[in-house]
Amino acid sequence: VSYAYRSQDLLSLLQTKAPVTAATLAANFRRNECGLLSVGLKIHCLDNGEKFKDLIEGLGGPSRILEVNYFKDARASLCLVLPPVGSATSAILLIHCIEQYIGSPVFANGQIQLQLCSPGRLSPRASALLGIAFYLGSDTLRRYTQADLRTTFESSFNHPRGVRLVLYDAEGDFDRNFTWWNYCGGHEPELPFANGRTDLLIGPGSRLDIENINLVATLLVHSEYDGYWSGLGQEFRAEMEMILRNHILAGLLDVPWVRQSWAQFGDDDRFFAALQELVAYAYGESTRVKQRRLLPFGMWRNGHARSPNGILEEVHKLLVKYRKAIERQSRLVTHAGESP
Amino acid sequence: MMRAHQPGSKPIDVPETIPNPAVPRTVPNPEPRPSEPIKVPAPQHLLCFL
Repeated sequence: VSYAYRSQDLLSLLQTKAPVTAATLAANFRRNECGLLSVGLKIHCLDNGEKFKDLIEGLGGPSRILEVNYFKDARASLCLVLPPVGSATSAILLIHCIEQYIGSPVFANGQIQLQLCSPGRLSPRASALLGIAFYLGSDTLRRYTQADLRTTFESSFNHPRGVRLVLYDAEGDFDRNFTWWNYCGGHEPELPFANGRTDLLIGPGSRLDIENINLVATLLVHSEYDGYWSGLGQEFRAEMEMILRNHILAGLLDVPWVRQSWAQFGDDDRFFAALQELVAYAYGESTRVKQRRLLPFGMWRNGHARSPNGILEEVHKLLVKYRKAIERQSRLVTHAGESP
Repeated sequence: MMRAHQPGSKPIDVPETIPNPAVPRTVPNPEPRPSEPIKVPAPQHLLCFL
């Protein structure tokens, strides 16, 4: 992620208005949690960006901070690239600090589109799983238009990214100095790849979105790069694919959720049709859940063998299950590392 | 809000976003404060002892 300022400068600036939160963040900036991946963030501001003026001036001014970065949401007045941090917790703290600094909400703000960056390029199928798990596991179900997903790199000559929810990096700067848990549980001081990210344009995001994407990206990246969570990652993929098969949505995995170099004409539309199918299904499930809640308990149970909240509850439970599994197993790794 | 309907059916309003019913609601966070007060200890000579 390209950002033309030092993270220390950002922290110093944030400490002037959010001393407690910024101090906590500074103490844990690169700290790894449970062997999960580091987290990068980009803030795309859809209004005039006035609220960020002081922050950007404090970091060196728009010419130094914004204009070096050609990538942004096509509708955005500015895209602020934040330095990557060691965990989802630190990423959430960083957003809290910025909220306090600018005196305005960043989470769940319709004028702010968040982009979450995870290290490591995922395969097309894993990218599809990442996008679908994010959408169904979010605390908010969203409708999209293609305008929501257009960026200045949509048709870039060197790095075309198309109109997608999932984006690869443009081979810019990459900070690999974050802890990586290898297959044997060893804690390596840097990530196993010198470059490459898989990003998600999450729109107006939430804390849960950051935690979920970090969890799913970790499982998928470890399953493809032979990390410590490789086994759990394979299990997650299998369970997620089974859920999609049970709901006759497995075909969603066959469309191009991320633009590859061999992309074909019409792929943007194929992806968007799949996204709309997912959105329609999720909205339908939501309506069914509301109707079910009006029915007496027994009437629903007699007619439905699956989870009463359908795919939404199944994915939510899946994410909770894997989060707990990682927390439980990581304690064993940490304890084993502490023993002489 | 988007209005969608098929001929012969009643139009329905489709909101931009809806809460995911499977995710338990969390307590909404308070509005961010513009800044936190910085605690500066009072100078010793201004402290009065009764």
